[in-house]
Amino acid sequence: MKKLYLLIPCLFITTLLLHAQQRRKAPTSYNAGNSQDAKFLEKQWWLGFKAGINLSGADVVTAYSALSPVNYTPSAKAYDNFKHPGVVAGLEVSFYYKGFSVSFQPAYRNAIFSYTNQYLWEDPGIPENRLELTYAQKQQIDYADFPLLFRYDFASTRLRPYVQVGAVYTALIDATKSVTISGIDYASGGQNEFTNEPIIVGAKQLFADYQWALIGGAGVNYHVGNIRVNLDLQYRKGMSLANSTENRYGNAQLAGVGDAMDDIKINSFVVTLGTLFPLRFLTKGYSSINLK
Amino acid sequence: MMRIKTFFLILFLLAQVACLEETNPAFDEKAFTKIYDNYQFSASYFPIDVQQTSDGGYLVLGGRRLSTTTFTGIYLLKADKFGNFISDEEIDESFVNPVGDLMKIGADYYFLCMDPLTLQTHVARVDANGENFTATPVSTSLTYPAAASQDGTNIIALSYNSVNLESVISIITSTGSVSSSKGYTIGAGEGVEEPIINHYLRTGRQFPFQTGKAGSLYFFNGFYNYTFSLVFTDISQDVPNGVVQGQQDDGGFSAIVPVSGNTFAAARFNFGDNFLLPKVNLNTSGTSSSTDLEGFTLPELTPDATVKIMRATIKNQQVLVFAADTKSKQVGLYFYDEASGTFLASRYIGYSNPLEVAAIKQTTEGDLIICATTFVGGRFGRFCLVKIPQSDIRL
Repeated sequence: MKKLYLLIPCLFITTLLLHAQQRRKAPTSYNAGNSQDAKFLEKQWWLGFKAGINLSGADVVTAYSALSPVNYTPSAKAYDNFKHPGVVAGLEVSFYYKGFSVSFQPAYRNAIFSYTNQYLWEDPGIPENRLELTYAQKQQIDYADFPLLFRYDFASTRLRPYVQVGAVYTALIDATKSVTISGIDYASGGQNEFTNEPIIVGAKQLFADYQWALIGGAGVNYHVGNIRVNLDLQYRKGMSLANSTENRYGNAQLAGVGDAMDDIKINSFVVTLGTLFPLRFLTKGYSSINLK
Repeated sequence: MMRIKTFFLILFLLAQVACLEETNPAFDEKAFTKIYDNYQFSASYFPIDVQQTSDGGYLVLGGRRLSTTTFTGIYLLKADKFGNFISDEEIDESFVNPVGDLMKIGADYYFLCMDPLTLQTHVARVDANGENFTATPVSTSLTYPAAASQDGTNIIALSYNSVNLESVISIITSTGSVSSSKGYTIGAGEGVEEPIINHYLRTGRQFPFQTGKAGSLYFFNGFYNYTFSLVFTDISQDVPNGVVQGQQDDGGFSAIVPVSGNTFAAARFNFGDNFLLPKVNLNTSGTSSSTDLEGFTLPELTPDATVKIMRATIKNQQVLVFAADTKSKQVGLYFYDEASGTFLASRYIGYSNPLEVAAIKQTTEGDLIICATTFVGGRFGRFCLVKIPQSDIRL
């Protein structure tokens, strides 16, 4: 998150500096002077940087557990979806043509989601023989995303809202997992509440190397001089499993505490703020867009 | 040129799509870790042995804590081929002290147990689901069963005669008939049997009692002449054919597997130290001492560690797998080449909850199944099965 806090002001400062420089160099003419300019500005390439946050959640396809109860029904894992913000930062390359855009946005994404397992041991006739344990499991996964999006701009004004659809192909970079065991032990003479130190392990082998998701979203571009500031919102619907089915029990530390990853698909909300620069200019007037 | 680029692009995309994960029951069957939990606070279980059944599932024999006697009760658990719990059986307290191996004879599974009142050894039988338990008393007086192993359709049993102070080795049929039996003195005096009784009551050290057959001789790992010894016998002579002595109850063999002739794979303990001997020649026809044997010492193992040895074929290589309890509460697996005794690889299982090995077996597919006691929440003794695919073992 610290990286994000630094990156967003940097993007703003870059935007403002470029805008100021643009104003000094040449007064902007947002109205195309002639039809040749207008035709030229029907197309545009944009290149820029963007960063933001993502909130991830898991859809359980098939539940798994290393604990196989013999005389009780196991409780399902309780997922805390879309609760933990992770960072996302990357590039955007877009090609604009008459209101439609194709956008490729390779990015680094840090997805975080968590779940808890709860267990209870007791002796019906002896109330003090009772132990409640909660295993809080937090996953932090680093991904390289390769989204391809198709956009439609609603307007040709300085402020241009758009909608978008697309797909993202994702490659796993790294993953860690932490397990914090807490509980209440009634057998030790009182209500002994405790929280153990978390077990933090590298867990790359527990996650799928590749996955893909569908994207739907919306956003807005605001043109400042010849550059654009972009606010983008995406919802990504996981279409393939995010966990490794082969290495489900591959981590001895985690399997030892009874944890096994469910078959899950990861969904996420991604919000980014970015600055984009035009790659095609008119030689005269330096206009990057055609404002009607 | 454009077509070639497009072709390679499509090929690349197809390759990437092929890398996507899908739910795959084959993977679920190939590797798993399963802990069989019971919600009862006072319940405590420990496994003794495991067998893969013909349906691909697993039958686990174990013991359980009883509230009415200090002996341990009998507990059987059936899991499917994915390791998921199917059923369990808590045998009533009329029979106690389950003793492995869990042996498949015909279509059924056998082990030894004991009547808590008469202390008489019984041959217990269950079906492949761990159900339809029957117990047949053996035909002669054999008290305190200590170990059992399979010899064809017979059972090689070790028991303890507390009246004559003898370790008794017997050949028993699956119907309980004792075809031969011979007792060997543990030594005179009351103090000699104290650790043995503590073993049965589980109030003291659990000794690695064992029986087997090496060539034409039978052997047992048990008390003889004041020491925990490896005794070779033809079960006919009053004096053993050969003895490898230990150091009273402070030294001896932790596990032993015959390989060929007088060559054995063994593990020994000596005043807390542990030594693995993947290739050792033993004198089966004279008296020798286990303390004279060398061996690889492993300081990571618990004092006088429980060790299980298995011969296995992994990736077309004949190997010996030693499974032992470590001080870090893991189970260490040590792989040695069977022919040369050279070290090949090691692997450790378990971490967060303590794990203590009970048995290691190779499945029909060549994978390893490790049966262990784990302590859920660091407290509650429960059965645990860990299956490791053969492909995951790097020799």
